[in-house]
Amino acid sequence: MDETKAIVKADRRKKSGMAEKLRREKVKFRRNKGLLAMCILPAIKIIIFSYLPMIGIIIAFKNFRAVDGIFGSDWVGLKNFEFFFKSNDAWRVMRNTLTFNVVNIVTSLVTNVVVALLLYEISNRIALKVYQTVLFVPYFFSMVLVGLMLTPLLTSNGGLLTQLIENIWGKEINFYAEPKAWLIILPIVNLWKGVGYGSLIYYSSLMSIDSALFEAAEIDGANKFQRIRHISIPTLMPMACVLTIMNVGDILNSGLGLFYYVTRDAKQLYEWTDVIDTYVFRSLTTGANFSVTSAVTLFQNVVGLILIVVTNKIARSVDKEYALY
Amino acid sequence: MKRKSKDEILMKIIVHAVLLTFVILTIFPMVFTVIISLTDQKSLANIGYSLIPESWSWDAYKYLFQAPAQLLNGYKNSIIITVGGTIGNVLLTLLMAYPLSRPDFAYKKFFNVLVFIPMLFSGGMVANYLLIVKYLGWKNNYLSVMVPAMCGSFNVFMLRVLLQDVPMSLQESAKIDGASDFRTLLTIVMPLSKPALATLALRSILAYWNNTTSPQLYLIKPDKHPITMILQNIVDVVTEMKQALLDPSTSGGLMIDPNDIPSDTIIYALMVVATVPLLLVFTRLQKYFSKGMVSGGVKG
Repeated sequence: MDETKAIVKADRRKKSGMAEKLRREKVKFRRNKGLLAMCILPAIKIIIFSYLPMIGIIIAFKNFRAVDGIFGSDWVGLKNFEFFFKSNDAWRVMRNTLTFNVVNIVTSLVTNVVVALLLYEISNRIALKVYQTVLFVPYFFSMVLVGLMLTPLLTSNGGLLTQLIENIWGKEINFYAEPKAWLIILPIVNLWKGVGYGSLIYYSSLMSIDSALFEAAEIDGANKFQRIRHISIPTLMPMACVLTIMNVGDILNSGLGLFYYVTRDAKQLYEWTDVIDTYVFRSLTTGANFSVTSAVTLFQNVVGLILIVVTNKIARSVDKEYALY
Repeated sequence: MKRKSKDEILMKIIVHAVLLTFVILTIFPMVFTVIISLTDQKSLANIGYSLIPESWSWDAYKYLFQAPAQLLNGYKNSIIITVGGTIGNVLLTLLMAYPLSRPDFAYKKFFNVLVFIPMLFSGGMVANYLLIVKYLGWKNNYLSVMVPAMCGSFNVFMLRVLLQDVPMSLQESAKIDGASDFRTLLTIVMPLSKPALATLALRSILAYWNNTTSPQLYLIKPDKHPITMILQNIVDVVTEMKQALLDPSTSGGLMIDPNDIPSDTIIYALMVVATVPLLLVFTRLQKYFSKGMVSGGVKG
């Protein structure tokens, strides 16, 4: 008797527990109704345009034909990956992507910090304003425009720089048929476009330094370089680390603009300017093999994901504040 | 008072000299573009590109404004895409970021994850392309360029951080007064976070205006081309413009000698006219770009 009573009691308690939980969920829902309603529209957009395409990844394992659609096409396993990695393109685009990214990360880090330090030395407010405004202007340009602006400098048809080189070395050089030259040109263009914006974030960290620190150092007899080395640089370090780590996580996404539009998509330059992004983009504009391209993007995404997770781990171990998540 | 030492003055001079070099290098290609656009076509043909042309001429601009159809159409398309896209983007980003900024939002965790995952992983360019072209049928539709860029994860997280600056006590008192969440957002949060929204809007305007890859993929028809696509196809555009100038029915009955049309310098005039208006606006508003970047921080 006692046993059954206990069971009934426990059962009732369980039931009321569930009811209680359900009731609480209902209250929670009612309380958050307004905020939930706000999320609906953006959530739908995100699901359609960010999550649905993830299903499309299966194309990488299929022989995609437009008439059959994503689901109707035949499965081919890892053939697409095999095709890409066995082709000459694979080595070329991987090498270029990594080379340019490493060069761009290092050069822009150094230039941005140096320009920020230089700007910090300027006490004349008008000069400062002029420098900052002018350096910022290229940030507003589209890469297409940058590419067009470069032509009269580099064209073999009387370009300014070509003329200059011809006058100095007596050598005719056609930049648009000289892929190796772009190993220097593209990082310079990248700096030209980004230094105004990139130096700003460091400049504002410098502005936040308590000037008493510099005065104290001066009284202690520290010269300018010692002050920069022991006060300014350490202030910039955390920011520089975060930005660099974020860039490393993004190392396979080289940014289409610089490589596609600035080179004017010149075929003769592919050897040293073709990167993963341009490779994929070109296959979309020319309607080439979607399956292989899909395999390339999947590979790019997975490596990118691993890099983000790893770099984030490193960032977290440096300082929790600086991790992405 | 301490007098400045010689070393310090020398140092100042070096700093200015280095920065001036940077400034000149930055400005040089822009000035050069303007110079070419003002060069006489014949002098360009004779001595090639030069900093000081033999003779100057307004011809390129004159002819450009005689056949402005494509340029105006490009501006129209760019404005539609930019205005529509920016309004949608700011609206959607705000609607997502506001609930996430509220510490009392019970489903915060779920939506945080929903927004965060696309930052780590995406379907890639091919899948996006197929979605838009094949399944949504948005080819040659402005939506194909406007919608996918809306409510980006990075922007949502940036705005969320900025919205957290609006004092919670204000929002709570509004709630006690009987205001709905939506009303609180509209009457309290939005007015107080105007600078953050302005920054978001400006960054969005810049991104939409300069976007070339999406129009190149989705807006195939030339009459849908925004300014960036006109620049991308600049040689074709100028050829077409030349034909319009030579056609007596469109050029208003004027007979123009084809040799008079400066087809090379028109390209540069077109670049200038396509860029300068926006540049004037943006350089004025430059401080908002920097402000948002600094206060928003790098972290999402």
